Formats: sequence, C-alpha cells, structure tokens
Amino acid sequence: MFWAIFITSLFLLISIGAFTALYQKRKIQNLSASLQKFKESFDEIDEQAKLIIKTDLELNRTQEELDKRLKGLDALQAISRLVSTSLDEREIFELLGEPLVSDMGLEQYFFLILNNQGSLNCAAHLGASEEESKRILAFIGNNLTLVDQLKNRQAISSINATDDERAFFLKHLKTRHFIITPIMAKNTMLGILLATSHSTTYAVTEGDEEIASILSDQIGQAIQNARLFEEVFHSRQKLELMVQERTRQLQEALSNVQQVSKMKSEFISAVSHELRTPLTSIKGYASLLSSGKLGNIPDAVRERLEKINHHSDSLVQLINNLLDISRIESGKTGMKRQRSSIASIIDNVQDLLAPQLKEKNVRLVLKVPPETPQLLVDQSQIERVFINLVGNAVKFTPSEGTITVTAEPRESDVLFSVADTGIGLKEDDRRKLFNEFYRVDNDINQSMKGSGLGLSLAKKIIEAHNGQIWVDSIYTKGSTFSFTIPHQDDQT
Amino acid sequence: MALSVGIGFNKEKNTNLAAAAAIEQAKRNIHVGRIDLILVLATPHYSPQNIITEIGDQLDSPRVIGCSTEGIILDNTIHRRGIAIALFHSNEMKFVTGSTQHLNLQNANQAAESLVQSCKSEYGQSERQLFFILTEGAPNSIPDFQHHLRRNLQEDPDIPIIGACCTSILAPESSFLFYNNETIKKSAAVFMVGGKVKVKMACRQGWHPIGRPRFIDKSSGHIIHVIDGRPAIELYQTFFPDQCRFLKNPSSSLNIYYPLGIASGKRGVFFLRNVVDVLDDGSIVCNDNVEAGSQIHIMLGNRDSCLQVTRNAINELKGFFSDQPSGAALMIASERHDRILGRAFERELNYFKRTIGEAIPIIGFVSHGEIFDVGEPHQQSPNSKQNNSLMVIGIK
Repeated sequence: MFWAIFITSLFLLISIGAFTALYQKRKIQNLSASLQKFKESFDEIDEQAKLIIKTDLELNRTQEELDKRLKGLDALQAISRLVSTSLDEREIFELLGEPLVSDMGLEQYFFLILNNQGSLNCAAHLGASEEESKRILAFIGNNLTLVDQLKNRQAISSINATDDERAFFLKHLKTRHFIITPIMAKNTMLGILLATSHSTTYAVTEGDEEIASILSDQIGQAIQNARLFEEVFHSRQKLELMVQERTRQLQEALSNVQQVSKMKSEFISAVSHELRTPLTSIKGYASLLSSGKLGNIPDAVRERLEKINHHSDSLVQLINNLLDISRIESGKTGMKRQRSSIASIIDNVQDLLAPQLKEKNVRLVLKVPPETPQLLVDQSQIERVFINLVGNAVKFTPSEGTITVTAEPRESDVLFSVADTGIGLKEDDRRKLFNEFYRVDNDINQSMKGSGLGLSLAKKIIEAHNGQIWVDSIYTKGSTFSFTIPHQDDQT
Repeated sequence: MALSVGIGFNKEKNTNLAAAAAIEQAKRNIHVGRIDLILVLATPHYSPQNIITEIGDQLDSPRVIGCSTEGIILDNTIHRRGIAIALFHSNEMKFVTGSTQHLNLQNANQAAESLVQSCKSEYGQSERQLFFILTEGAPNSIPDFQHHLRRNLQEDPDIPIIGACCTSILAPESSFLFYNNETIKKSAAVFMVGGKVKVKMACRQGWHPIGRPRFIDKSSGHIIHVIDGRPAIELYQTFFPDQCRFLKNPSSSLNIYYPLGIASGKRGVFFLRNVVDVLDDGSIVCNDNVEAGSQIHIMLGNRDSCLQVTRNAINELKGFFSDQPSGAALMIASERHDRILGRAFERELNYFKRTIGEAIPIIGFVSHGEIFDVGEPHQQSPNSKQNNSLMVIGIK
C-alpha cells in the first residue's frame, strides 16, 4: 500500500515536474520568439531610421545650399547695384563690405590689391582688426606659391583644400572656414579677396566658393572701371591744362598781334598824316605851276607837272584809304548810318562805272528785287564797297563778259553778291585776298596800278556794319563776292 | 501704459558712432525721461567696452544688461552686424539687476546663491514675476544651476527662470556680457521684474527621436561612455557611417541637425544634448550633464519640424497683447534653430509680428543655449538648458 501510494505520488510528481518543465520550456521558447521578434522590430526601426536620415541629410544639404545660393545671388544683385553707383576705387571697397557680410554670412573680408610694384596692399578689411589685417597681408604677401596659384584663377577654400593645406591655413588664418579668390579683370589679377568665418553656424560650401568667384570678378570689373575712369579723368585734366595753356598762349599771341596791329594803324595814321601835308603842298605847287599863273612854262614841263599832279592824286587816294582803314579799325571813324535804299546806291555805282563797262564791253546785270528793304548804312561807305567790288569785276572780266549784282532779302539780313565771269581765283589767292596790300599775281594786275587796299577796306566797312564778306571762285570761270548787312542793326 | 519700450539699432562700423546712434534712436522711440532698464545686444564686431562707455555717457539708468550675439532680431529682420539698445520704463513695474562672476571658480550652488542674493537684497519683499538670466561661460551643469536657482528663489516657487547663454563654442573669446557699467565674462547676469507686469512665454524645439530606444550604461558628468554595452560613438556610427568623422566639428551639419535626446521621464519630452567632442575610447562629450540609465536617442530636426514649433510657440502669445497694445516681445532663438530655418526665419518673424500685432516691438537674439524653467516641467518645454530651441516672451 505504502509503495503503491509512494509510486503513484512519485509518478504524479514526475508528471507534474515534466509538465512544468515542458510548460516552462515552451514559455521560454515563446519568450525567445517574442524577444527575437522584438529585436527584429527594433532592428527594423533602426533600418527605417537610417533610410529617413539618409533622405533627411540630402534634404538638409540641398536646403542649406539653396539658401546660400539665394543669399549669394542677393549679394551679387546688391553689389551690381552698388558698384554701378561709384567710380571711385576706394569707395567701392567701402560699399562692398556690408552686403557681403550680411548676405553671405562670412564674417571677415580682406581686399588685398596689387600695387604698381606688384606687391599686395590691404585696400580694405571688414570685421577684422588692423593687426589681423596686417597678419593676413604678411601671410598671403609672403606666400608666392599661393599668389601664383591664384593668378591662374584658382580659388582656394576650406572645401577644396587638402588636409595639409587646411591645417596650414588654420594655423595662419586661424579659421576653419575660408575662401581665397583672385580679383580678376579680364586676364589680369588685380588682387585677392579673402573671406573667412569663425561662425559655428556657417560652413563654407561649393556654392559660396562659386559666388565668391563671381563676386571677385565683379569687384575686379568695378575696380577696372574705376581705374579707367580715373585714367580718363586724369587725361581730361591734363588735356584741359594743355588747352588752358594753349589758349593762354593764343591769347598772348592775339594780344601781341592786336598790339602790333594797333601800332601799325597808329604808324600808318601818323605816316599818312605826315605824308599828306607835304603831298598837298607838292600837288598845290604843281597845279599852280601847271596853271601858268607864275609864268609860261614849256609844254614838256607842263606835261611833267601834270604827271606829278596825277600821281599825287593817286598817292592821296592811297593815303586816304590807309587812313580810312586805320580809322575804321581803331573805331575812330563811326559809320554815319542812315536809312538808305541799296537799289539807289547800286544805280549810282552803275552810272559811275558805265564808261568803263562800255569801254570794256562788259554787261552789268542788276537783280535787286523791289521788296529789298532799306537798310541803316553809311551810304557813301557802302557805295565805296560796291564801287570796289564792281570795279574789280570789270577789271578782271574779259570783253563780252557779264557782271551780275544781286540782292537777296533774308530773315535776318540782306545778302548782296557781285558775280563775274572773269578769270577767277586760285585757292591760295582766295584765302589772302582780303589782306592789306595783297595783290593777286597775274597779268592784269601787273599791267594795272593798284594799292591792294580796296578789298581790305571793303571788309573793314562791312564788318563795321556787323556784316560778313567772303568770296567764292572757280579759277578761270569767275568769282562771286558776297556780303551781308543785317536787319538787326536796321531795327536798332 | 504699463510698459514703455524704445528700441534703437545701428550697424555703423565704428563702435562709438553705432552705439551713439542706436541710443539716440532708442531715446526718440521711448518718449519718456526716466529709463528703468537697458537691454544691450551687440554682434562681436564691436568693442563692448566702448558700448558701455557710450551708454554711461548718454543714459542715466544704472541698470544695464545684455550680451554678445551672432544675430540681433528686430521686428521682422535678423541683423548679422550691429548694436541694438532697448530702453524700458514703467511706473508700475520694478526692475532689478544682479550678477555673479567667476562661474568657473564656483559650483552650481554657490553660483546660484550669489546670483540670487545679488538682486534679492535690492528687490526686498516685492512680488517677482520674471527671473531673466544671461550667462557667458556657463556653469558646469546648467540643470544643477537651475535647480539651485529654483531653491534659492523658493519664496517665489512659480517664478519663471528663463534666459540664454551667449558663449559661442567656436569663438568663446568674442563672447561677453553687459552688466551695468561693465563688460564681463565667465559670469551670469540677471534682471528681475515685478509689480504690475504680465508675462507670457513659450519655448519649443523641433527635434524628434529616431531609431530604437537605447540606454546609457555608463556616464560621468558631460561624458557618455557606454550605450547598450558598446562605446557611445557607435550610436552615431550606426546611422552616419560616412559622416561620423565630422561630429567633432560643432558647426557640422551632423552636429546641428542630429543632436542627442535624453528622455526626460515624461512621454515625448526629451532634453537635447549637443556633441562637443569625441574621445579616443569612443566616449561622447556633451554640452551638459547626462545620467546613466537614461534612455537616449539620435534626434532628427529639419526645417519643417522647426517651422512647425516656431509657429506653435508664437501661437501661444496670440491674443496676449490684444487688450493692451503696449509692452514688447522678446525672442531667443538658438543658433541651431537659426541655422536650420535659414532664409525661412525672417518669414516666421513676419508671422510673429502679425500674430502679436504690428504695434508691439520685437527684440531678440541668437543664442547658444536657452534656459526655460517655468516652475514645473511643461509637456513641450523641457525645463532645462537647450541649444536648439526657440523661446518667445511677451511682457506688458
């Protein structure tokens, strides 16, 4: 009985133990499975997280780069605007700082510009002390390899530098973020732009590097423009000085000429006066002798006396002309102006010269319209001008030629012209024709007397009437002398 | 009007000229004679001593507080260079400033105690509404520092302790604080506001955990040695096999976009830690304390997620100024938040301006660590130092 109970109990205990063990084993198995699933789930979470992070990294990088690009573009726009407002190299550097700092996020800017001797000077620095600027200048100025590299338009930055270079720059620039880019104008390096940042919030990117390169090119262009402007400005100043000097010389020369002219007029006037008095006596005595009042004289003597008389008249005429020119020039002879009909003046001239015209068989054509207004002129002096011009035309026009006198009323003046079909003038003669004592060297002049003062006197008379006189001519075909007399004087 | 504010800004190259112009503009904008508090922000391009001298010469208020920053926020623009001066005046509020220096020589408790004492004695028993702190060269552990600040301010258990650190990891030499008539480093400065003042604030960060949860097996202070039985660096190596070498660079995209997240104990709330260094044994050095046993994640942030939290933070101030269009809005944005938002940030500032009303001036700065402790842990606003968040404060 005892054994039966013992065995049964043992069996039951073993069964329970086995059952429990089995149960525990199953539970452990289940827990293991759950744990495994849990671990797998965690791993799955991590894997998903990796994917999310990968996408997120790319997104953040793109966003940051986009931001910088946009800021850089803002900076470019601002700089374009600024540099267009200044043509002063110094001012450009002052203007450039702010937009660069505010739009690009970098903190320090050093503008190192090459001088005429080829060494670098710090034209401007922003966000840095004077000492820092000197240190940077010394470092870059002494680093010829770096300068050479930049001359080839290669920007160096904390992005593209090698580890050794980065360590080198960190040591000397004392910053992790930097861009060193050449300031170029066409193919010439004008200087170096160094931008650095100590900030924790801005790391230099490739976009910064590109933008900095474009910026430095713009700065280079601006500097070149400023220099060109300065060059042009200096040239202009130099030119202005030269013009001023030349003007002064010309004024001096003009003053001398005027002085000489005045002296000449005074001399002529004095000499003429001195000549006229004895000439009057000579002429008077010649006339007296010639008249026979002092007794009969032989015919041969009379003939000589008449020649003396005739030449004395010519000399008096010459002296009078010289005196007139001198007086008109000095303003001593005022024009006795009165309202006059030019047509009647021309008629008088026609009457006066009729014998010569007839003698030479030259036709005089008058084209003076009836509406030609009366002008305020010194009638005798204008008549003198017409006599001179028409007389000359008669002299140089061959037989059966035509002389045409024209009057053409215009808005502000009346244009008169005396045209002939004569021998015409060469260019050189045409330019000198109104000079005093100038006589054209031709056969006619050689055979006829003349003083060379007629046209000069005519010019002085027309100018005294505020008009102008000139000549157009075709050699061998004829000449046209024209002059104007303004209405304005008529009105005043 | 409870609070009058006048803000001036200038970015002239010369420090004295810029400071003088900013002061002049601020004076023109405040329209009152007495100034109770001056907030100064300056980018590192300027001499802080010259700024303080200029302020001393032109303004009477002895209470000056401010810091260096890489970005000054004014209304709807971030200025990367310049000096901003904000003048505050109120007949119904009380402003007190205080400071503690040599943070590196004090433990968290000493620093907190001396800071609170420096302004508490002046403040007396008046009601306090805001404890705004700026630090340069932060104490070893900000959470400890905050804890001790809270303990020292036990008479005001609900007072918000908010602020920022201005020390740039890469250029610590160019960071500084303004405190009354001096510029200081390795220090903390504070201003307390009390009286009839209303304050509303929000703080958000746009990072979310990614990957399976892992646990810190071993840590000491700021250093995480072992995670899930492996060297800590393997966490990054798992997800960033190609980029991991950039982790040491605090300005690398890897460091900025993917910080570490330590579970706070509240569901969905993580303290962010940035990697400062990686040791030879694979340990990771963070910017603040990490505790062994904590759940740890790689955190993922991008422009969309940060934009979303910016709007969430801004929306919390919606309607705050509608009954009384006076006062000012303060914005503190971490440099990482600024970096991620990029050009979109100014768009968000426009949204901020529209939300609070065009008449309310906005002033703020880019910081290197935000302190946001509003008394009890907030679901979305971890009460610890962050370096990735956006903080907005309305004060009227």
